[in-house]
Amino acid sequence: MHVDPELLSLLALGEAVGTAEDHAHVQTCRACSGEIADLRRLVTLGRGFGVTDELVTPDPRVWARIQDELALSAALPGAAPLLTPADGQDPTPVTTRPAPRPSLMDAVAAALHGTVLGDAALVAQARLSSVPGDGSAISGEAVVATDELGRRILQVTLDAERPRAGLRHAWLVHRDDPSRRQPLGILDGSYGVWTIDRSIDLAAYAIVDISQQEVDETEHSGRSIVRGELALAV
Amino acid sequence: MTQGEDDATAVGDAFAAGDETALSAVYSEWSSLIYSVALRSLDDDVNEAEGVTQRVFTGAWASRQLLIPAQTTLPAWLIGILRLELARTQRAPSRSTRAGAPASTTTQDREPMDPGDLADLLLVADEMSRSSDGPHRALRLALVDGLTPAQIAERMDVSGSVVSSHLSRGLHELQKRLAVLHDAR
Repeated sequence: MHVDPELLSLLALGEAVGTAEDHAHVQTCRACSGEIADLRRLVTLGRGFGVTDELVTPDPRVWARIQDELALSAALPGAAPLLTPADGQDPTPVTTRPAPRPSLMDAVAAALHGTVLGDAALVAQARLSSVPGDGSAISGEAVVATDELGRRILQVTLDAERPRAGLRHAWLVHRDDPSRRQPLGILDGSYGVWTIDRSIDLAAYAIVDISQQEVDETEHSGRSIVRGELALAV
Repeated sequence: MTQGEDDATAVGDAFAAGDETALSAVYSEWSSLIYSVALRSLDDDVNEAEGVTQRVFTGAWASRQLLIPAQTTLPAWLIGILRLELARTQRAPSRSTRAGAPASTTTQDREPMDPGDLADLLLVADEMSRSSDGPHRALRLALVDGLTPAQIAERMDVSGSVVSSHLSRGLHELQKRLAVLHDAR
């Protein structure tokens, strides 16, 4: 008959408990002596508990680098630790410092990063080139990807300086009827990111158009600088 | 086998099969431990510890086909890779030149520990801090504060037999938490 687990625990803690019979059993029984040795090791570890023995969560950049190195889908959350107090009531201050989840912008930036083209998150892309007659030689790229919440995010990057005056607006133009267009928003110089409403059919509104606008001008100015047709990634 | 162990095996299987969400889940659950052991083993050098952490997970992913979840738990396997990475980093020429420099005050009082023992120690510390229920509290009073069972009974205002049961359950919780780091299942 093995020794009671509670008694083994107390013996491992160094308490003078149990009968002579118990002690004799523990000394000769492999299972019981193994268990005591195992528990004693835990007791020793626990007694060595120091204030510096806390788990530290790595900076979110570590996961970002892993994702980058392995070309993982950016929709994967990584840094949020799952370690939480087991019970809700009056928890001792948890020693792990929760890292912020990677921001949406990080996720999107990673998804749209050139090296992961062809990834499942990619929806469509377009090369943007100068509109004939504009006179400038600006080029650029538009990429559409879905983020971890399923939102379609469009990012435009222009190979150009900031405009000397006015603003640049981005539009989705219907491929069959150039007068039908959906406004996306204003670029920050040569860069912009927007969500695309799910009701918009990108197969129809397939032309990404960037226009030069006056500051207070909300309708399309008619001065397109670059344009390109989205090719849907299947 | 408990539900938790079933889940852990399922994650190990998915990881070995190349499921990226399993890698993400494994990173979420174990990166703190890997990083903390690396930090402690590398004199709190954040850059090196981050590099080691990155290489443990990218290395594990690259060699995932070598993982046999039925034989090795995933965290135990990660600790094995961590041990190799730490040895490699500690042997690097950039470190040995630094070894002549006086040790910082934080490292002087620390004995170098095996990464596996360090991992056990950090998990024990984390397990003890993570709950304030009876077993965890009794265990902290016994191990951290060094109280006898009789003193714990008085402090917690419970009977001696309740304390015995708390301590036994607390130790059992620790055992369970550490079991996944060891190959014996």
